[in-house]
Amino acid sequence: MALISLTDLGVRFETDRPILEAIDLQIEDGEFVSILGPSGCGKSTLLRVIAGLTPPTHGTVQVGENTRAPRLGFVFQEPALLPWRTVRENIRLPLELDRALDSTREQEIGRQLQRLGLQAKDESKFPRMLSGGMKMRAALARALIVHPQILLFDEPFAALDELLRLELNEDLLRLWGEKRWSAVFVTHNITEAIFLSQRVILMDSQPGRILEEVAVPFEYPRPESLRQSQAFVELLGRVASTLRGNR
Amino acid sequence: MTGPRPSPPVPRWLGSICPPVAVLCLVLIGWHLAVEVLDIRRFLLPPPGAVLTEAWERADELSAATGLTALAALLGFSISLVLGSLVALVFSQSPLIRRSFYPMAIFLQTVPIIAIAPLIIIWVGEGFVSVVIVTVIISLFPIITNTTTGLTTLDANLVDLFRLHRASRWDTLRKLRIPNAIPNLITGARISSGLAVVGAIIGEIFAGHGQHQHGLGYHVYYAGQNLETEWQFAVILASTLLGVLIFAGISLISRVVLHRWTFNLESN
Ligand SMILES: Nc1ncnc2c1ncn2[C@@H]1O[C@H](COP(=O)(O)OP(=O)(O)OP(=O)(O)O)[C@@H](O)[C@H]1O
Ligand SMILES: [Mg+2]
Repeated sequence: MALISLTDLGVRFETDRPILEAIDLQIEDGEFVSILGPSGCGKSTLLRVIAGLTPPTHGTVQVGENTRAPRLGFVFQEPALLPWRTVRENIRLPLELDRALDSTREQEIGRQLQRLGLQAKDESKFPRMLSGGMKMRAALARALIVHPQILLFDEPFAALDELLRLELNEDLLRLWGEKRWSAVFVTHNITEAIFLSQRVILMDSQPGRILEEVAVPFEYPRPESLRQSQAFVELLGRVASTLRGNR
Repeated sequence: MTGPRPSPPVPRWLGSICPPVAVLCLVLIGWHLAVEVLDIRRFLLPPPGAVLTEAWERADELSAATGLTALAALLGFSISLVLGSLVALVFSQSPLIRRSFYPMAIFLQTVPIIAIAPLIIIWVGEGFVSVVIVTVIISLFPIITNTTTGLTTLDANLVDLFRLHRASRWDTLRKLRIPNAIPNLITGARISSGLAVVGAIIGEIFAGHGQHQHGLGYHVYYAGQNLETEWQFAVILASTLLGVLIFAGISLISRVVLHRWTFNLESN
């Protein structure tokens, strides 16, 4: 059975116009799935439904394989760090809220930061002292510290410059390769969607529906150079024209 | 051009104190010259030197009055701080509570204190307690509004993060709402501290401290009645200094104790 399973899902807010309609989507344990679609088509809403933050108005949402809810991580477009906490204290927050803090987990915070390329001296800094890329790395560390089974990403690298985005894409895949959580990754960037995932979901807007699911055939680990390979560029062109043709 | 920035030639605190002091000196000189050149009569506007001399000669009386007013202002301010924060905490718990009780808070803000001061004296009697009550009424509102704003205006992503982890109301309050409200609380406290001095003086004009003790409000009132303009100016000077001192004290405390937040305060 799939780890995330949405059946005939619909969401509408106060207005009559449905935001999401007839969404059927299964995501397997350990799968990396990206979602691409025009602005306002309901990508964030879809993530929030999976996270249990927005209730669906139609259909069913099943997350997790048994009755116990799986551990979830959410990475927002902004780093969303608490400005009055140091980096280390920010990473610790989910453990505090989950009542999961003990000395082993406390030690793990430092290791987690290292794995994300932050140095020991950064731990005691406040978020305002960090660059945009470093803040996003801290936000990733915060999402990973709970040992999530599912990680939800809402355009996490959209505000970063292109080089930093490439670098973080590679780091993200390395981390995924180590732990194999399931990932649902919302982005506007087609290269990013294809480079990261095993499957790309293309969405249409008004109402938000699934237009097409594109399988990405490349093996992991994926080298940087994959982005220049002919097969990659062809797939990119196909996805782009599907999205454009439907506008 | 960007080179290494030279270290400032004067310490920062000196840099922030010099400009206002310079302006103050200019005002004093201008004041003095105006009195001399325009030949203004002393009971209308005494020269600054005469005011200082008067203050010096009656220093004991002046410092006793300032001490008494300071006590009332600080006590009233502290009560406002605690009470205002508690009210804001209650307000933050539900929009319904806010909608229901906010008009009452606005009533506090808009009621002419001069109209209700006599009522307070009827209920509580003249003296220190009445002065403190007037102070609280005048200085409470900024604490309530600012702190309520800080407790309720939250980053939507952070709210989601807390919901994702099924954070309890209590955890959300102490780990998100309260820390988020600290800069607003400080802003409210700064406004409120100035108002507390005003409140104490108004309270003293109405309620006084009894026959044997007089605060600044009493002196300001009777000096006016008796055309003791030099003394009146000395008293005004003392009340201003008191306000500045309390304000500076709060700024200092906020800087030292709340270094995690003060950066945010300075940046806006
Ligand atoms: N809580 C809400 N109440 C009412 N309408 C909402 C709410 N949240 C989202 N919407 C509407 O739903 C639609 C989809 O929003 P959503 O944020 O999911 O889109 P998106 O695909 O993430 O867009 P973007 O790419 O710009 O982030 C928008 O028209 C938005 O105005
Ligand atoms: Mg969105």
